[in-house]
Amino acid sequence: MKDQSASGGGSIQDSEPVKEKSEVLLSVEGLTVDFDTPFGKLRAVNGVDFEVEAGETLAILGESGSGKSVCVQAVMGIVESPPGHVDARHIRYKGSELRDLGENQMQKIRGAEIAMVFQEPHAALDPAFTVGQQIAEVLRVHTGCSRSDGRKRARELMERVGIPSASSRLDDYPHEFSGGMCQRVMIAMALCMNPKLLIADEPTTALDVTVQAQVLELLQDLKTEMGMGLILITHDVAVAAEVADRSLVMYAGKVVESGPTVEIFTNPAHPYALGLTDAIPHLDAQVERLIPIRGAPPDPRKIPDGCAFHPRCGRALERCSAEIPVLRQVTEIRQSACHYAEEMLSEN
Amino acid sequence: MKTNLPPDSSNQTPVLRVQDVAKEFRVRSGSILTRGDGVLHALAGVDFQVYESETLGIVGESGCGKSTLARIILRLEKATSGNVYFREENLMTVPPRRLLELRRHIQMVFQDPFASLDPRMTIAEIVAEPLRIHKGLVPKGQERERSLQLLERVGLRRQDGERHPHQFSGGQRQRIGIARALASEPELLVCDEPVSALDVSVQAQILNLLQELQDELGVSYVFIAHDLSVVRQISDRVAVMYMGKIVETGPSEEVYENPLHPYTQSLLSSVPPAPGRKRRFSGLNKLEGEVPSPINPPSGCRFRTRCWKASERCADEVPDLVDRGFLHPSACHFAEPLDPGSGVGDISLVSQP
Repeated sequence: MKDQSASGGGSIQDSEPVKEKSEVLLSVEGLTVDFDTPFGKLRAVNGVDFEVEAGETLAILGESGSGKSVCVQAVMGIVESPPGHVDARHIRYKGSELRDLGENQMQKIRGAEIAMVFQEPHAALDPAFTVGQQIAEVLRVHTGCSRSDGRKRARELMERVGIPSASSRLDDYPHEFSGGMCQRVMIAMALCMNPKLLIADEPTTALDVTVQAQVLELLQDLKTEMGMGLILITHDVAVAAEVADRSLVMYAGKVVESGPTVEIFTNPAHPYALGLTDAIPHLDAQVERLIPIRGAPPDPRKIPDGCAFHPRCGRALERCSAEIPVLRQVTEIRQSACHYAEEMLSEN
Repeated sequence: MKTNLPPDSSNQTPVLRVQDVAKEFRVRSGSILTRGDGVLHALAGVDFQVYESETLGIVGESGCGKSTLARIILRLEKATSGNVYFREENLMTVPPRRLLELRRHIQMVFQDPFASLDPRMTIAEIVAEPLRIHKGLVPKGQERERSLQLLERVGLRRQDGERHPHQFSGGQRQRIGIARALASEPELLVCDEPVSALDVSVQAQILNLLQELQDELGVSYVFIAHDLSVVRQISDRVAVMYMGKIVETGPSEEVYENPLHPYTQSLLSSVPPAPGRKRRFSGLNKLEGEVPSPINPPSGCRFRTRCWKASERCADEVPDLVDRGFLHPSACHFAEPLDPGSGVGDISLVSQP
């Protein structure tokens, strides 16, 4: 956490293709998260690897129960144990292993280095305190600054995230803010300490489409301006494509495909990604019937043998129910966990 | 892509006719700006018709009044003024007994398939319940058999009838909700955000099921949703709502390809495009700000506070939802189509009197 910080700021914005010397912020390998439940052990995340560089946006895409949120909760060290058990080959932030840190040291990383924005902004704010107090509290905890400095900085942050008449709204309570404005407050809180990595878990899912557009734009601007890494958790393919350079597609606790977002969904190398593309209705055309994926995502307590997607897969063969496909490099920039990924790619 | 295009209003009586419906709620508001009692204008002068075997999509952001409208159509809520006709009968004035009978013909599919099914009943009982209430639809003693048939029709198995709601996934529960709604052989189904709680892989199954059922049974839908792509897929005609008013309505194809109202245009341009597709009206600036308080709606056009075309006239004069010479009605003094590519900067758009 010491030497690389100098290279962070300026170099990232000017060029996209020259990405060799970007700094890897977060590197996760072999992440597995289990939960004890009254019905037995449940594996929510099963051997997930990913990396995020400074200035990059990574989307983790999946449906409910795919394990996408648990992944980042494990990184942040906020999976409750028991019932949760986190295991990994490593979870490194700027080269140091996060799991070796004590709770005190981890507390300093959370918020200051890696910050998080959640889906339900109203639920994440305390209704009994003004938003100004809540933003200032983060500053006081991390920097020990004075009340008035905290207030001043809170106002600046609220202005930065686009809350109109910030100086008067400092003293408003969360219920006086709309969903979109609350999400801006959450983002302001997350930015307090100029984090290097921002994790946004479904930040726009509860918001209307016009407000979603505003919040996504804000997140992108902030990322560029501050050279942050951004991890966006979402179920929405279009939202991922809008903001994320790269995506991981998760299904039943595993990554089934990864690569540049637009490539994944215009030329899928996994039947699940293809299925999602076909199942989504489009704004610019009506079709006679959509092509759904049959069945439903599996119960995490009863993941099918072999490829977890095989009972829903139109191209599944015998091999798929017997042999677990490993996530492997299928082109220079793409990874897929389908036995027949190469065939899928060659068909297009 | 159905062949039965929206019928001409002259030669067919609508299944549902909503006429100048307004709904006001008395609210006690504690905030500084609106202290004291206030009146929340949830709906103001809403007019539309729904014909046989067609789907009217109602789309709008949260708070636009679309769910209140659903509750009023079902008479779960009474409108402050206006009329709601089912066929020839005014639901606002029919005697309670008759209203109960009419409810057979108007059913609802709810958003949350986890909250709308009684956890203590088996699903066969849940689906048979409307048949017990509306007697005479099936011979006595046949209710159960009929409910099992309905379950099969929506893609579940007969033996599932013995199971309880918690044993089903969200998509399956929504199928159960649809089976229950269809049990009394309604002519109109009001679907309030029926797929928004579902995963995308499952959402398509339910949309397809609704379309198949419509083709087969000729039932009409009022389909309420915030997802513009979903509404386009399922609707023959759409109505776009903003702050309790319809701002634009017409055949889906028309409204989505040639939106006239600035609100519709900016809504469509806010939707992130699917990978490999283009953003609609990408030249349009992002809509600023948020929906104003419905307790003190702006005078004149309610959208004017966020509209880039707004002029003095918009503050003084409420724009009616009328045909303005562009094939379908819109409620904007300056209604005009945009060039779908970009073309938004055209000065002619802004300076049009």
